[in-house]
Amino acid sequence: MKIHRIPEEVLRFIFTLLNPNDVARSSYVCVFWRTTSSAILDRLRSRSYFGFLSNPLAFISSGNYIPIGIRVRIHPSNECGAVAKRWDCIHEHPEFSTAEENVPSEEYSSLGLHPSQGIGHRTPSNLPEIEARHEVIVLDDGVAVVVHHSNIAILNKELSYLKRLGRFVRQDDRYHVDLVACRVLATALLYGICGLQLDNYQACRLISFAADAGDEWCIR
Amino acid sequence: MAGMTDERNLTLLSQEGDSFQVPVSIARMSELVKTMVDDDDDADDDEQQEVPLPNVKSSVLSKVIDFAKHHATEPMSEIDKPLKSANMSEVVQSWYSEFVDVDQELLFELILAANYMDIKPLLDLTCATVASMIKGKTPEEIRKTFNIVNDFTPEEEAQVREENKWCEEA
Repeated sequence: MKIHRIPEEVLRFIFTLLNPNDVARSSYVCVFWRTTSSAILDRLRSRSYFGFLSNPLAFISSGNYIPIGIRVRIHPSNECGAVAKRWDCIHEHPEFSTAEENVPSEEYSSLGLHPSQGIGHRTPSNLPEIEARHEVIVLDDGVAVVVHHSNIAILNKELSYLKRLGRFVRQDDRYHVDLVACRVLATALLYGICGLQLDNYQACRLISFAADAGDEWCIR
Repeated sequence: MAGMTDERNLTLLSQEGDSFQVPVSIARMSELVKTMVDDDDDADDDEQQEVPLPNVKSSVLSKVIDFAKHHATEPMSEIDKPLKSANMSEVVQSWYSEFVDVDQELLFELILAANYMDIKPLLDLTCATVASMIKGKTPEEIRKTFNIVNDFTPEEEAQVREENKWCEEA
């Protein structure tokens, strides 16, 4: 067991190089790995500046969800409206800008981000198509959230709470939720993905909100 | 002495007491060595400094020096987080991917040396190599790869599964 000779901080560093699902899978390996990987996953989850990731139940109950300033147009050729084929525009919501100003610069540094790369400053141009590896996690009334397969682990708690609240049903290999739940998951993803040290360009690739095919829609 | 600083050599002493002559400019890639050299700046310039590295074996120190020398000519590209591939040749330049194509024993010795000598690029590279060996594998495959014994009780294992059930379903 040569790997057990390396210090815990080095193992922790190794886990930060993995995506959350790989970190979560590492929890099963042995007790030592579980302790370390759990700390990494908890850290990813705790990177919500608004605290809802740590207590999504209270967050949902309060109805105080965070507005997501994104508008996306679904490609007309998409029959079921489940997958956004391209990103047409990203809307900068004023509340997002305000919130970002409250984020300490050291937080950005710890996320591998520069304040100028904040959520409200992403570049809408040249966003690539959603890839095959992206899973449609949420689909209801034409509203969809597209999640990269490797990021399911950071939504464990949110999905559990939503299921308990009856805002979540898995059916036909798709996850059906209502609009509030959609907002919660989407917000979790936005912050969670930023917490994965991906830049906003990459984050945009992983999240999609969509209204009816061909329509622009903004969550408010 | 202006311009002469980088021409000087110093001696790195391995765990076994073997000496390795290394240009100061190369050796300073190690923050540990850098600190020791800086602290010893007042020493007689004619006297070649010796830096004891009691935690690093000769075979490992030799590899570390190879890394530092090559890094001076071709700096390693930044490693993306999370890793984009489990294939190191798709993560860093070929010289570096070949450098870490070693047995696990040496790989972990390199990690310990990089950590002890505080050489960030080497730590990044070696840790990324271990991460690439974990990436995409099942827990059982990971155990097999690293020869790790499953020391969970059935209750503990059930608890972990409960905590990660969404991940499992995905």
